[in-house]
Amino acid sequence: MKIKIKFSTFFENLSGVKKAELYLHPDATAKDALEKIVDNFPKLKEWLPHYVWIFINGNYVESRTQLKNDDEIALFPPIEGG
Amino acid sequence: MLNKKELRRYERQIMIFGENAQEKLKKAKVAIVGLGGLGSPVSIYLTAAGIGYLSLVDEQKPELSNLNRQILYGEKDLKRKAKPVSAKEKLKQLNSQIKIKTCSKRICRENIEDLLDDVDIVVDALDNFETRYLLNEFCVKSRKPLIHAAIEGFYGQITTIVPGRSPCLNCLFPSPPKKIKFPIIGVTAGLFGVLEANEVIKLITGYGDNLISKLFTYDLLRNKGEWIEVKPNPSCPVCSESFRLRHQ
Repeated sequence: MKIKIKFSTFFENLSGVKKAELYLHPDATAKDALEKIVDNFPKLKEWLPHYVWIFINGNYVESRTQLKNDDEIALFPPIEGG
Repeated sequence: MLNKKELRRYERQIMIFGENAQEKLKKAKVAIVGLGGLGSPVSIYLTAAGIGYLSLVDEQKPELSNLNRQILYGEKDLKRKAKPVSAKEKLKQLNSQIKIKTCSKRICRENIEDLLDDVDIVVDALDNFETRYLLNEFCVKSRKPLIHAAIEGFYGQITTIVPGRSPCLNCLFPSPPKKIKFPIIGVTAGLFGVLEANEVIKLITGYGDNLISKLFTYDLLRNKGEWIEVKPNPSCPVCSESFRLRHQ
């Protein structure tokens, strides 16, 4: 299946791209997608798969979540300062 | 009614949204929880804009390492008074007509209702998710809008939570980040504090668009900003019931 990745500005600085497409096996999870992202963008290894908030189509998800064809994954750094 | 002095004082912003909107600001009651990097600009800009009543909550005293970003305080304030007390003195100098309530205790499950029951809007200017979840639960239960922001380094995020209309904080971030001593520079706190104050002003006056169901992020190092649409979690333990009630 094909999924879309959207990097928040924080991760875009490391990946060098705003958007990407990934091809994954039909029963892939968000964690599988994160691992493939790291393969394609090694500078993200410091953060993924642990230091990230994952949204699929606008909803927060855990990394074990099963993906569907055409899902859009958005990745944000977990921050809490004030 | 606005008096002559108020009409003069706020004339430049009344030019934008009119006298009725300024009256709404005067009648509004807003709580700012956390008076650090975010809470400093939030409180300054809401005081300057003429919000009638501010409730300030923070249990800490200013420390030297706060001064790169917590612009309410100076060297003379270090380790003397609790932040809300020190903040009130500064804010009263800026605008003596604003009513300011201070609480120098840590907000907790036992006192949250007493502290926030009388306000219309709550601003999350905190630095930890443990207390943010508490604020979120209270705001969902009492149907008060909550303005959320968080910052780190040159990067930050902000969203406006309106219970029953947008995802709550628990929908968006159900797991807190790992505890770290986070790096931060004053300009990031300044920008996101101003954005939070702006959300409050727009909510009260009805002027402009709020970041409801939108998570806005900005990277000050590379001057890049964006927002994404975010959705409620239908099985959120905090807010899903309020959605069901609203849509019945």
